Parts: sequence; C-alpha cells; structure tokens
Amino acid sequence: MAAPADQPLLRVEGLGVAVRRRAGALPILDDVSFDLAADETLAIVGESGSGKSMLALAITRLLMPPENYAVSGRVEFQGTDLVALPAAAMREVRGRGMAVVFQEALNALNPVLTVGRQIEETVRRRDGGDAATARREAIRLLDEVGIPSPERRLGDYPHQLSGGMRQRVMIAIALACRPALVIADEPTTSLDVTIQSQVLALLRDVRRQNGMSMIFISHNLGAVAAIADRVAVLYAGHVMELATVDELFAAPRHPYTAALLAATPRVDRPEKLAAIGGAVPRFDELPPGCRFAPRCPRAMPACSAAVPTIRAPDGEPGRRVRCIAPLP
Amino acid sequence: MLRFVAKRMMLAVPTMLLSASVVFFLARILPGDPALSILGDSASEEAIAAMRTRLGLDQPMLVQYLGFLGDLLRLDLGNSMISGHAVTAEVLGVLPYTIELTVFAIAFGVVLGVPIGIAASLARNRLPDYLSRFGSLIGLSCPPFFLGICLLLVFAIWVPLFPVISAPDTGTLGGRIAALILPGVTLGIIFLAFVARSSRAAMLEVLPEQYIRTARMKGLSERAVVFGHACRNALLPIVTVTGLYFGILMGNAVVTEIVFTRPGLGKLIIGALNSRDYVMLQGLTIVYCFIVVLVNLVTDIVYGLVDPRVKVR
Repeated sequence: MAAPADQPLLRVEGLGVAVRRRAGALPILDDVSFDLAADETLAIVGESGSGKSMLALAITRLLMPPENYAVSGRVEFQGTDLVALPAAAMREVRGRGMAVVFQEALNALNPVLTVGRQIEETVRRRDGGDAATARREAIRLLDEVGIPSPERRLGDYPHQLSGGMRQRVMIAIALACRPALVIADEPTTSLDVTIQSQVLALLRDVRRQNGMSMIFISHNLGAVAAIADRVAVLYAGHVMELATVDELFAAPRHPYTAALLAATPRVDRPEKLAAIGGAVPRFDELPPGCRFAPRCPRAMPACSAAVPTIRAPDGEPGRRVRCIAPLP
Repeated sequence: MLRFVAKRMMLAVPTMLLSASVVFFLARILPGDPALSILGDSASEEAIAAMRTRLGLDQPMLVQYLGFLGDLLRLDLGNSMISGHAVTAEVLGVLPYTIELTVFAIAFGVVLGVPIGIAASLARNRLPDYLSRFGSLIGLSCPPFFLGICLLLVFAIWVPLFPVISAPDTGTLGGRIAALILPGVTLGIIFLAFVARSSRAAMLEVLPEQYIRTARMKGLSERAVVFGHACRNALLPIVTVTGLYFGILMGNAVVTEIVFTRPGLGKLIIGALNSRDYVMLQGLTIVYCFIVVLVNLVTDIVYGLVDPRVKVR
C-alpha cells in the first residue's frame, strides 16, 4: 500500500517510551515527533544515553521483552499506526516495510548460521520462493554491497569475515527485505575509520539506488553531514532541534546543538575543540524544565520552570527547536 | 574435519594410557595383600609365596608394569582371582546391558529435558516455568535407589505394568525395551532435571542476544526465531553436559542395576568388591576410564560439528 503523495512515509507523533520498573515507570523518550518523506534521509544525533537506539527499537517495536516498556504516542508508517498494531501484523511490517542495520554486526549476526543462510531466510521470508532462487538473490545482494566473489562467501560464518564485511552482510540482510524505510543504528561504530567511510558511502548509494528512506542514527556529526538531508538532535530523550543539514550546520538554534557542533573536529575550522561540561543526566535524575539547562551556558531561571515546548523559531517555519530563548 | 577427528583420537591415546597406569599403581599401593585375601588368614607362608608367584606379585614393579601394558595392548585385563575367567570376557559379556541402560537414560533426559527447558524459558516466571523448576528440583534431589524402589512398588507390584526383575534377555526386542523403562527412568531422572535446568538457563542467556533481535527484525515468526536462531545456540552447552553425564550415569548405573536385579557392570563391581577381586576391580576401573575418554572424544567431535567457531584443524 503506497502512501498518498502528500503524506509522509513515516510520521512519529508525541512518541514516548518508558521502562516499567518495580519503582514505577521511568520515562526515556518523551514527546518525540518528526516526519520522514519518501526518498529522504533523517539523521538522529545525540550523545550516548540520549535514547537514540531506543527510538529505532520503538519504531520497529523490537523493544524486548515488550511488557517491560510502555509506549505512547503514534508511529504512523504508510498510513498505519504501528504502536497499536497487533504483533502478527507488525511482523508483516518488519522485514517488508522496514529493516534495521544494527551496530556491531558481530553480535547482530547469528554465530552458528552461515552468512548465506541468514540472507536467504530473509529473502524467502519476504518473497517465498525456492531455495535456489533465494540463493541467487543472496549472491546478488552480497555483490550489491560490494563483497568480492559472493558465491564463495555464502558458506562462511560471521566470525570468518572482517568487521567491514560483516557490516556489509548486515546491510545485505536489510536490503533483502526491500524495505521502504531502512533504519541504520550507528552502523559504523565498531569499524576502522577507513572502513567507516566505505560503509557510509555504501549505505548512501544503496539507499539512493533502491529509492528507500533512511533514518541514520549516529553520534558522528561528520557522517551525518555526509549522508543526511535533515537532522533531529536528541538529548536525554527529548528532540532539541529539527532542521535540514544545511540550516543546522550553518546556524544552530538550540544551545545544545551549538555546543555539539563546537565539540566536533572540523577541517575547515581548526581551532580548539570545546567540550560540553558535565554529562547527560541519568533518566532517573532528570532536571525539571529543560533537560539541558544544567549544562547550558545560556540557562536562566525560567529554563527550569517548565519543559519548553518544541516550536518553529521566528521566521523559519520548517525548523523546530525546544528552547525558550533560541540562538539568533 | 578428518584431521580434526584424527588429532582428537591421537590425544585420547595418552589419556587412556595415563588413566590405565594410575589404576595400575593405585592397585599396587592399596593396603592388603591380594594373595592373603584369596587364601584367607590361615594360609601358610609357602602357600602365600606360591600364590604371589602365580599372580606375578613377586616380580619387580617395573616388570609387572611392562607386563601389564603388554597385556593391555592385547586387550588382556588378566583373570579374575575368584572365578579364574578372563576379565575382558566377563566385562564385555555384561557391558552391553550397562551401555544400553545408560544410553536409554541419556536419551530419556535429552528428549524430555530439552523441550521442557525451552518451554520453561519461553514461559519465564509463569506457571509452566514454576512447574518445571519445582519438578527439576525434585528430580535432582531424588536418589536413584529410592526412586527405583518407589517405581518398582508402583509400576511393578501395585500396577504390574513392568517386570519386577528386569531381565533383558526375554528374547524379544519389546521385552528388552520393557525391561529398560523403569531402570532407565530411575537412572535418567537426575539427568532429565539437569538438562531441563541447563537448557532453560541457556535459552534465557541466548534470547536477549542481538542476533535474536535481528531475526525478529527480518519479520520471522516467533517459531522461526526460537527454533531457527535461539535453540541452535542454546543447545551447544547441552552437548557438553551430555558427554560429561554419560560417565556419571554409568557410575550411577551400578546402584540402579542392583535395585532392578539387572545384569551389568554393577553386579560385577559389587561382586568384585565383596570378594576383593583386585584383578577384576582393576580391569573394571580401566574399562570405565576408557569409556569416559571415548565419550569425551565423541563429545569433542560432535561439538566441532555443531559449533562452527571451534577450530576444526
């Protein structure tokens, strides 16, 4: 079912995820909203512990075990709300509508099954068909993700491949789903820098060639600048800023975004890096009001009075910022 | 693969040699004179000396040891000091009964224990899990002689479904299997409980793994996730556990065989102990050691087959 042209592929609205504990629910993600158009790449950036990976798992409903999480809000994918979808219908969405490229492919691939088997089962789950067809498709996919002599790699186990190869296999598995949306969750974390850029380029290319949309989760602003159309900045479970890549890098509106950019090494501005003082607050010790206020150089008493709503800054209807006094 | 098997087999040879040597020297340093125990306290000095010569005990230790190794190579474990029959023949005559009992118990434990453990892990902290945990606690703490007597009382005397004396040689295959059921269950119940617990624990360790999440991401059914992805990994430790337990159960079989009046190594061991038949005991111990080494060898090979990460070189 194709979404009408005026409707985004994915619309996340007021998404909240809380971990159920004996001591009461602990909110992690709160009021997360964004749209993703067809053929678009949205980057989610944030420090470790900001809730990025949980966002990917909440969209795909892969938070395990489900009873430990309370999910609220809406995740509308191709016009269907996934939050309320029965488990069987959700399985149809997974592996068909959307797929995930997980970080650390060594752990994300089954150690006792061959690479071929893990791709082929994805193909057969998607298309049915016989083993020979699935095998041909697996070879084609391995070739597409740039693995040399793919028919010989089918019989290999994950531990026999290099880190970069494993991540390529992970991407091949995601492609085997032929999804409309691929979520890449820090796909380059455990890789060498040179391999990182190769995998990044591969992701960008296969996304373009297959006309997929992508959510690219990363803490690496350099990678984000290279691959994304728009960026959502996540901090302690809140979206702090949402803008196009160009807007965001040219003029951050949220003090946190500005601090994040200042802490990123850049070739064109080789001045000293500015670390952000303090650390991301723990989710059981969230400050009142703006969650960034305790570390914010521009904080004022009003910041801690109430959680700022996320809204368009003056004169920029396409952007969103969660700050009562955005940067000019 | 062939080289892997060959290498494992090569390693098994020194293990067997070492275990046989330990048994030989243990038998020699044990207190008590075999000649004296055969002839009794009232025997004359000459008779004892003659018996020591007949048993070869007057030879230097090294000569005895080399002779022992030479006999071992020819699978000659000596002659029983009581009956005078060849130990090898006596042991081989009853070994199949003990082996079939142990294999039955192992199969019983694996066939029932693995599904119970998997089911318990999937129903974690719900009724089936509690039942299986409670059941396996009882199974683990139930001594075989006690369980054997209870089973005999219930299923052979009150409800005579099975024979009281488990004579395997009734001529028919059905009769042979019927004679196996009560002793097999008795012997296997501890292993069943252990397998259920181990596979539950292994599944609980595997289910939160990231590759299980990947399998779900592919849109696979819960069945395919559990059986295609989780079980394969969770059952690897069960292979090891089974190999280890084979030796333990063969030891436990002694008691079970006595309770059920079954022929087997058990009867032979008890008999040899009571009559201080050192040659027989030495032979039996060596046979046990060899079987344990062989089972470990098979376990290693099976593990190499099922876990691709084991270096098959």
